[in-house]
Amino acid sequence: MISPTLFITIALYLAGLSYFLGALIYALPLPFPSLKQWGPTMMKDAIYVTVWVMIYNIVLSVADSILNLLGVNWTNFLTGLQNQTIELGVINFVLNFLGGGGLKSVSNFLSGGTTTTFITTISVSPSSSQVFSVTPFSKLQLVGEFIKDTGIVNIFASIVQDLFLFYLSVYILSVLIYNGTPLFITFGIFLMSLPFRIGRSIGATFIGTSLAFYIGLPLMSAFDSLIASAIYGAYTPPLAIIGQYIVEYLVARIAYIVLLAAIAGGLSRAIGETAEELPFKIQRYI
Amino acid sequence: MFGLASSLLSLITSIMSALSSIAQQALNQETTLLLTIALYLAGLSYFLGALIYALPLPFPSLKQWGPTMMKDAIYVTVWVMIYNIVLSVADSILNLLGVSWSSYLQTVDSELGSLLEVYGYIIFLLVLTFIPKFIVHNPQLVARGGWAGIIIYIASFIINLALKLEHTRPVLASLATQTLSLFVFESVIASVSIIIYNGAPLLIVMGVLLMALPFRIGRNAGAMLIATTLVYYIGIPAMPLVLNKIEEAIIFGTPSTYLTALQSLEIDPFIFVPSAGPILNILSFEFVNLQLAYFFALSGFVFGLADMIAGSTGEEIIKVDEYYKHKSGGNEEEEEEED
Repeated sequence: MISPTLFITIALYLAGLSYFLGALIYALPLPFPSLKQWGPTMMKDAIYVTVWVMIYNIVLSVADSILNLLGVNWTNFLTGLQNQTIELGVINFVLNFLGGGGLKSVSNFLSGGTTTTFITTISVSPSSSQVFSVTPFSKLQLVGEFIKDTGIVNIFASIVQDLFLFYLSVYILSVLIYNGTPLFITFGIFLMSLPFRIGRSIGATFIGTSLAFYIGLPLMSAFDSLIASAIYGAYTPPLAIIGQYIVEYLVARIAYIVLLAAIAGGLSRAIGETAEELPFKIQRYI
Repeated sequence: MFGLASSLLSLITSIMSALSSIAQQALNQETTLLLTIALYLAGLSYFLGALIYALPLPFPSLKQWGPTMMKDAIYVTVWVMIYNIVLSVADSILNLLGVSWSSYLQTVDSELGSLLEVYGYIIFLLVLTFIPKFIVHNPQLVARGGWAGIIIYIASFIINLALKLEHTRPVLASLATQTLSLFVFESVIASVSIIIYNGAPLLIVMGVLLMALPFRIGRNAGAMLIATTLVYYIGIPAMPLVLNKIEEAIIFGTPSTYLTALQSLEIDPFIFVPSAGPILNILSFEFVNLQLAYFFALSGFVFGLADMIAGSTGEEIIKVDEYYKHKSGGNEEEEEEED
């Protein structure tokens, strides 16, 4: 069973292994400085990992108390995000239905699928006569076709679809971070405890990323309000409402997540001196 | 319909102006608050650094954080002091270039208005094409007595007009989609510009705040935020200065020229429908391709400036092209339809 306790235990044993491997290398009677310098390095790393094993619970509760101090709450954040995602999904469905000529098929269905075709000849003007093939055409069908032709529904549908997919991926990421932070941090400690610094940078990245996102993601609404106050500032072209909507809910949120990723990189570098690429790339889903 | 639209727009404008006065105050308060927090954090970093410097522990990798963090804190304090000066330097660079934010925003506003007007005209033509269809498919309306003669006469007149328009309905639909997607893209650019214009002090102060976090946690993020804001603050209003020369040299006209030409064609639908497609293609080249190329060039400056501020760079923050990447698929389909 994979659990934080398991990772912590393994990490502690591995730290011991690293320490004694380091001591062994330190004591080896071999004249290779490049090998010998692993000795103190690995002993120091093992002590560092042991410190992390001791403080990881404290780090988690410090993160929680920072969230408390900032007045944000994971439960509220997740509930709000879930509701918004569901709303966007419904709007997405309706817009796709309208844009795909859904009204037409509904009216076909309601009229019982009658497809009797009759041909009438209407003299249009004295000079020419045109032949129309006329099917029973309801007003609903015409409206549906008109909506499809204006293109407005299709464009809004594609915007809403982007928003929906983005919110869905942010929601999944949030659930992952909220439920998995203890596991990710202990897994990071486990990776950092591998001998010869094999997993040091990726372990630090795991710890840094999950901590930065654990504190940063619920603060998204605060960033939203900052951007909103900037966007409704001194001068605003009144026509750019669609663009404002896209920028406020898509571009600004992507920017926020990119910023969080940069902070995660900085935190990882503070923890492990070097950092890898992020384990999950939210911005690639956009 | 147009009267209703214009009254709606004026209502929106008045709401926006009411909101903006509230928002401006909130913006100033938030900027001051963030600046204060940044200063406090810089102090925290400094004294943490001093504490680590003074710790009696024999770990060089820990001890080397001491001078680093103290230096960083002093650097951030300098940024807190000069951020206003940096903004006024940016303003004076704009003055030297002879460009201004208000004229740029007015240009964008008028371009957006023209695009919306062209879209309204295309929708008007689309409605015209649907009227005869409606009459043909509801013959009982024509056959009903009383005003029959007049109604049939008018209907036949409209049908006559529409018989030529009817064949152009797919073209009209694709023109409508193309115009609207151009409008959406341009309004995204406009909104990003407005965020940069109104929020420049706020964004720079946020960057300083991120840089003030201890242990260099937010150094890259803050530097990228400051660099993005500064480069876009100078670069976006200078966009017409650069792009208009290129446009006049390569395709013999700026977007406003082509938009005016498009609007002047609106008198006659039989000239408008065939010639709007090529003009819209040129416009989409100017609006989308050239502007994205310009933003790409700006991001190069952003990386350079962030490197100068923090000694390293992060990832690009404002991703206009990322947003447009999959939107271009729609345009290609439309071009195929027109062929």
